[in-house]
Formats: sequence, C-alpha cells, structure tokens
Amino acid sequence: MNTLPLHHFLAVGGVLFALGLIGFMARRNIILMFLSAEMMLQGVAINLVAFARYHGNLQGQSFTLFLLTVAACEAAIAMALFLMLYRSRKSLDVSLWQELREPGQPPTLDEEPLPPEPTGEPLPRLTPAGREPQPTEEETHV
Amino acid sequence: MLLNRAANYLFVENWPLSAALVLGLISIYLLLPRTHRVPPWIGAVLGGLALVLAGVGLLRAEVFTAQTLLFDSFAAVAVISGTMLITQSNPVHAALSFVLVVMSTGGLFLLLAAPFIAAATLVVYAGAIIVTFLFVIMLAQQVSPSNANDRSREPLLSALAGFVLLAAILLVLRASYVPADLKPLDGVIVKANKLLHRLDAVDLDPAAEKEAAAEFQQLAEEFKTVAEELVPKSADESKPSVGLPLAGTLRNEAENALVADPQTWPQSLERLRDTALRVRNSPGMLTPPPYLATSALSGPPSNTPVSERRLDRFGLPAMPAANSAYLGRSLFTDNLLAIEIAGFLLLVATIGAIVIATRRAERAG
Repeated sequence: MNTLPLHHFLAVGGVLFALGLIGFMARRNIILMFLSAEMMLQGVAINLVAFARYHGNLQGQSFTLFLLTVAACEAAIAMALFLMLYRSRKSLDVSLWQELREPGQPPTLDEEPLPPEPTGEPLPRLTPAGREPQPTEEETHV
Repeated sequence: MLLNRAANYLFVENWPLSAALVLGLISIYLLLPRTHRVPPWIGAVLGGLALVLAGVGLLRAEVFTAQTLLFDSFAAVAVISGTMLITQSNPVHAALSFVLVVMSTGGLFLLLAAPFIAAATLVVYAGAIIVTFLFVIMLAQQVSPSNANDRSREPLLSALAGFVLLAAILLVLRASYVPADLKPLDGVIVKANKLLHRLDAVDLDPAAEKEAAAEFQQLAEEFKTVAEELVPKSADESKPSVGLPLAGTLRNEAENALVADPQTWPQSLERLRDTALRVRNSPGMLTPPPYLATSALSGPPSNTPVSERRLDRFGLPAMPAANSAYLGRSLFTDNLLAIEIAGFLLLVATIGAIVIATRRAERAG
C-alpha cells in the first residue's frame, strides 16, 4: 500500500511557492526578494519531480535540471545588477527606485521612524595603575 | 445554495485546513518585519499550531512507516525554514534559512527516487548560488537598522494574497486527491496481498490449495463489487460521484478472473491486485494524451497499460535504480537540443555577468 500519496508532495510544493510569493511581495531588500523567488522555484521543482515519480518516467527530472540551469544563470546576472543598483543609491532598499512605478500609484512613504541603533555596551576601561610615563625628548622627536 | 455548500466545505468538512490557513496568515503577518515588532514567539507558536493543523487536515495517513516519518520531517523543516527566510531582518540569516530549505527539498527528492537531482540541487543552490548571495551581501552592507531590512511593503495585503493562493491550492488538492470512499478498495487490496503472500511462502497441499482457490473466487467477486461502486456515474445527482479512472478496467479484469482458467489464478490475482493499486493511485491524475513526444529512452509513456508496466511494492511505476545513467541517456537523446541551448545560456550569462561587473568597476574607478 502506498503510504505516501502524490498530493502530500504537491502540498509541500504549493506551500513553498506561496511563502516565496509572500516574501517577494513583502520584503524591501532586493536580495531577499530574489531569494524568495528562488524559493518559488524550489516549490515548482518539488512538483515536477513528484509527478515524474508518480508517472514513472524521467521527463519531470529532465525539466528540473533545466530549471536549475536557468536559476543559476538568473542568479549570476541578478547579483551583478544588484551590485550596480547598490552603487547608484548606496542602499539595497527597493523603495528608492519608486519613480519606476505606474503613473497613477501613490508613493510608498515611511512615516514611522526606525528604532535607534542599539548602542552596545561601552568598551571596558582599565583603571590606570601608577603614573603615565611622560615620553622623553628623544622619543617625541622622531 | 452554492454559498452554503462552499461554507460547508470550508468550515465544517475541512475545518483543520481552514483553521491552519487562518492561523498561518496571522502568524506570517505578525512575523514580517516592521518598526515596532511584536515578540516573535507569538508568531512562532501560531505558526507551529498552523503547521500541526495542516498536517492533520491534509496529510492523514492510515499507516505510519519510515517513509511517512521522513517525509513529515523534511516537509516540516522546509516549511519552517521558508517562514524563517521571509521573516528574518538580517539577510545573512535569511540566506542560511534558504540553505535549510534546499537541504530539505534535497531530502524530498531522495524520497522521490531522484538522487541525481538531489545532489545537483544541493551543489548548485546551497553551494554556488548561496555563496554568491553571501558575497554580494558582504559587498553591499547596510548599517544596522535600515529601511531595506526592517520594514515590509504592505505586510497585510501580501500575506492575504499569498494565503488566498495557498488556500486555493490546498483545498483543490484535497478535493481532487482525497475522494470520499476508498476504504473498501484498500481493504480488498490488503486481502489480496495477504493471499499472495501466503502462496509465495510455502507450497500448499491440495486441500489448502482448493481452499485458497475458493478464497480467490470470493476475492474476485469483492473486487468486482468494489470496482462497480467506483466506476464514474453519469446522471446520479443525489450522491457525489467518486468516479475513478481505470475503475472500469478493474471491473473487466475481475469479470475475466472469475471465468478464467483455474490453473492460472495466482497470475490473475496478481494482475487484479496491480490494477487495483493503479486505481488507488489514480485520483487527481489527468489521463495522459495517447501521443507523447519523447521516446522510450525517457521511460515508458504515462498511458502504458498496467499489464505492460513494472510496479514496485507501493503500486507505483518502478523507477530505474541507476538514476543518473538513465537520466543522462534521456537528456542526451530526447532533450539534446535543450541541453545545447542550456549550455549556450550558461555561456551567455557568464559573459553578461563579467561585462556588467567590469563596466561597474570602470565607472567607479
């Protein structure tokens, strides 16, 4: 008896795809958006390989290899482009490129300020033991 | 009327799945980064509860085997790492969560008889793509609380859109792959397995063999009644039609087995059992077209009749053990043009990345 039916794998592929979609739409860091898109591709790959198993031929696996190839090329070019974009604006925030939006759309504004940078504990200072030595004439005059 | 049926389907019959989707939506919405974050343990607890409910609602298994345990662990790690990927503020933590996602999908590929794809995915994604990502994160560093890392664009709307899609996918899967009444078929398959096991174990004396033959007749009758229940009904609106493909084939084979030659009844029983397994695995599968574009080197076509296929012990078509060899043979005969184009694509992408990088350095320097 088959204890692992096909729709279990399709459900996992669907969940990964939907989570990647949410990450792509919700995050502002360009790199994290692209990482979510890669997760969508992983969901699709699970679907393809599951169907290959349950139909008994290798067509799904061949297509997954091509998917892998295209994902690698996409990642290479995308990384180069992200570095170019970073050089322009010194930030990876995708909201800085808002003038590319459609004409009727309102802009995205940040009203709440970010929380302040957490100040770490100050570096420890040792109590001075004894007098500080005064440098001699020879040592100051290099 | 339709709304009543839809509400009934969503909230009464499939309430674990609907509850899981709502809880998952709330947990993702709470976990997405924003300026004043709620403590992450709330989102984590809700998300864990959603995962457990989804497991109960969609993945009910009658038998708990090693395969089920492996699948459950890999799937749970994949989903949890996916959630961590989209909700972490620190991009390095997100990249490492992606490595966890890739490793768990590699495990799932191993469960699906695809060891080459598992290894290739691990090497390419976790080995090359993630390392590239980490280098770029290092070169494009952000000061600690930044607009890019600590804010989200429309968290509520994007989570809602994603979960509406997920609800559509999971509910359609449940409706098409879990039809109402397959328990009689399961029972009959288990009985046939037991009888065949008894025949293989020991040579029977004539009395026991006659008893086994009588049992076979009874079993063939049961197969016939079960198959008749499962054949798609055309005009019966009162009860939902379970109707499975190949159920008609099962009924015909059962009728043939009842009138067959008494010498060959073990083979008939085995064929009946294999057809029943194929019917059991057929819900939700579309009938493949009669003509397929690939040759036999990519594996037998999906519409090969049951008598001409090898089935493994789960009733699924057997996959080649030498996966890399057969995959290579399929790629370089049926998909040769695609392989060449993929290689060309890789070359063009390499040249493009180098050109973009060099131009950037020239403009900066």
